[in-house]
Amino acid sequence: MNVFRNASWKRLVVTIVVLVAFGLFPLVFGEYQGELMAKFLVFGILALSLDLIWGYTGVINFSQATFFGLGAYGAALTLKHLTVPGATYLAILIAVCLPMFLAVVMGYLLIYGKVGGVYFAIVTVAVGTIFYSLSIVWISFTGGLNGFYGFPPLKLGIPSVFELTLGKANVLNYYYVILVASACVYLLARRVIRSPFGRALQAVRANASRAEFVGYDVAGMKVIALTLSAGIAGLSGVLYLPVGVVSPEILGLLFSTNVLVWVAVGGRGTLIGPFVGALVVGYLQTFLSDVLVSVWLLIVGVFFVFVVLFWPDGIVGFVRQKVYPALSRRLHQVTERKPDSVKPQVPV
Amino acid sequence: MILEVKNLDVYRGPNHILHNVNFSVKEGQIVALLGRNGMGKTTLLRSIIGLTPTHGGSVILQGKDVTHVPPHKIAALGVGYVPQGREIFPFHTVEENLRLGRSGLKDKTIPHETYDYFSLLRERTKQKGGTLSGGEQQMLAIGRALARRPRLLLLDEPSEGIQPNIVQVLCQIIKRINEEQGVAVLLVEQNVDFAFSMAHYCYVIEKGEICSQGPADGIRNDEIIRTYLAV
Repeated sequence: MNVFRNASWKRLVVTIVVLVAFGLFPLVFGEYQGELMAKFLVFGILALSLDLIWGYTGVINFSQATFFGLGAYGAALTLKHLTVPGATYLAILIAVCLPMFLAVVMGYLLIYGKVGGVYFAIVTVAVGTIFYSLSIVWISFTGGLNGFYGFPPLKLGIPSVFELTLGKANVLNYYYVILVASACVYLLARRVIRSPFGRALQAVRANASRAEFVGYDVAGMKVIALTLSAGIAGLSGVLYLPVGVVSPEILGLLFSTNVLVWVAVGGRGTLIGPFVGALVVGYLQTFLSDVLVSVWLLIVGVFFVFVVLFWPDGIVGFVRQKVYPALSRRLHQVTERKPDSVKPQVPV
Repeated sequence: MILEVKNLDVYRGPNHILHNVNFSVKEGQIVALLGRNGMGKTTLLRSIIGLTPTHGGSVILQGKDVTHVPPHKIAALGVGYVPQGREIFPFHTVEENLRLGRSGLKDKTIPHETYDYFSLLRERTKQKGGTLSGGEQQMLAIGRALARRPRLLLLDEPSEGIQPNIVQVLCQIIKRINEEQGVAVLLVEQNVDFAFSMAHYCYVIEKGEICSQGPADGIRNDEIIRTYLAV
């Protein structure tokens, strides 16, 4: 019996192993590593949100960080100014809805205004810059370049009955919440991608005017995809509160570029690729900045160029196309019984 | 009258592609639009489906003026478009391509007659569209266009680049679809034999203008063909 033949059996085993590994991770490697991994998982969710609009719909956004930053600032500001029980839930709602609102406005003006391709990309850069500048200049509201501090932590659960505090000190709490959130976002995204709407989005990515004459309202679909992407990015923003600092950088162009790199390195249009990219680049940066203080950024840059040149489908794409088939062949050779060879009669 | 094109003018930049084009397609009729390369045939089809903007005149679908209506709405009104070069989705499977044809509809079931018409596709439902041969892709493109059960099918040079025996099969399929479902067909072709084997009525286009029209049997007259269609 060749167990490895059955693909879904294989997939289930891999999924369980991965989940258990992530589940045990902070317990085995300690709180500092747990904190780091939690941060990279948050980045993974953010990268996935970009993959939905870029990898699956084919619309590039140079300021995905704007949605993220609006989520983080929105939640932090809510928590600071609304000190009521259950404020966390309102903060999460605002973190998700504020970027979605921006996405609808942007989408409507740009996509229905038929601003496409390069021009759309430039406008996204402009939007990102506007919010970045706003966060720096509006010191009284956002704390400016110093960042926004002094807000109470997120608290999940039912107020005065059971509360799960996600403060900077509660590493295990927020680690597991973020892990569960990552899994949920991934499953939701996969559900969307496999639905008729998701298939149609991929048709739009393949060729927008082709999808149009087949009967799809391409403009409307792009707005929906952008809005969904913004909502998920906003969620990653609120999840960032326990693991990072709310400051203008998270709204900046450099951070948006990071998100593009995570998706490109991990694998565009794969959903799992964004997580792989965020983790790989995150650990690479962390490790290298400790060891090679002056050149780590150069090495990350070279790594990015390498991936784009030789693995255009990212790490996940490379593994699927080259590693899986080679592995299957090996397993086949090892587990299949070889037929008895018969020596052919060679005429004299 | 399922389709009427009245006084249509189309420019691409400074170039006047279509000059005051008038023609019509009756319900259930197969109309062929013949002409050499570059005469404006593809532009005409693209204007009808709304992909190319028009600069004068009108396109009327079942009495409704659709001149400035976006392509997805024209498709929803019952027009299936099969462009030159097939334009299937290469990374979607055969089945997914066909289901995509059911755009805007809740029920994504592929019409049962699809695999009846295109038996070649039956064994390849899980294959990616890009791995099919030219003839199979052509069938897939037509199948996708028919998935919404349109009243009018626009075919742009369906026989181009397809091996002759498959072209024969395509001819039979299109005639069957027209006879069994009453779908009107506007066929744009350079291959006059293919067009004459199924058309009821023909228009000949030369340099963006309709220069001749009539029942297919009449147009078969060699003199007209020689003048406008010979290379």
